[in-house]
Amino acid sequence: MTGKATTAIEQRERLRRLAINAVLIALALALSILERWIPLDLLVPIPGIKLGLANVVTLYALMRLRPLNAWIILVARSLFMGAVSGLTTFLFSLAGGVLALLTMWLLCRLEGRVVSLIGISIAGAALHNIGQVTVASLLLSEPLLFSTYLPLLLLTGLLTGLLTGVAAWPVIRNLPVRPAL
Amino acid sequence: MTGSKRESWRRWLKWGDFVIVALVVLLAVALLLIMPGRLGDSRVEACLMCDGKILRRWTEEELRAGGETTIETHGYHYTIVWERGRIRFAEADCPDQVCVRTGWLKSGGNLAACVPGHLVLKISGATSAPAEPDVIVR
Repeated sequence: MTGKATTAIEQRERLRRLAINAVLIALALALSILERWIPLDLLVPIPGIKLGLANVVTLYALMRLRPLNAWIILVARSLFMGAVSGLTTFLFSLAGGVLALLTMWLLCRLEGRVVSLIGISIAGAALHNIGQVTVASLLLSEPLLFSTYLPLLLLTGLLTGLLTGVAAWPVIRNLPVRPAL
Repeated sequence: MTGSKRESWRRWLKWGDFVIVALVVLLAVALLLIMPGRLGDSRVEACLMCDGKILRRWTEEELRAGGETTIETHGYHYTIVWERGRIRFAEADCPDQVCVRTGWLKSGGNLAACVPGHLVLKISGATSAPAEPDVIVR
């Protein structure tokens, strides 16, 4: 009887974990697609510039769930975007995402004492841009991208990182921690 | 992370946030300073590269004369236009359109890239275009 009850609880917990991951992946994908429709480069004349809204989901997963959730969301989002838009988009998404996630994961340990969510978000945006320009530079065999394109992306990343951090702020503050995940 | 909902995120900023911002700005400025196109080469020329190989070069005179060409790489098609010493990707059927949105390349160090088609169009030299007047009124 106890064994069956434990199995049922475990099964329910697994389902809950699966459901939360699925919802967050869907949300990250929706935000990634949504920001493609925002013509930010009309406002800031840097081709390819994006808000990085999906980072709100990554930040939430890092701060309120487990790092594993954030990694699952990142890989799933990159795979889906790659399946829709091609191999280069997959490589871009993954390279930027992995660097950003690693940085934010490390900085999360200092959150509240040394850095705030805003600093973590800005650092994530910067490393995301560095990752993407590195992949572009390798694919195109063009190191000049580091001195022509990356500085502009880094400077605009300060603003987009700030906006993403501010957007993630109420979400993370008001949603509870889920230690069981 | 408790407190009133009206509390501003600005109150939670830490010294580390400012260090991160300073590091990002420093890196951006350092990269801008090492831009090789700004070094004083007065000879202007444009070149189109694919996978690190030069597909075509334009001299300064050719860029001023104007013209148009089409090219296909990695399954994508591009139209490149040049006039009055400047050059750009005018049309492309690549998915992200970053190359077209880059617009005109006018001076040394300007660069337009298309990752899906593995293309780089760039100008070397320091002079900015257009060097000639559009119309002379007498």
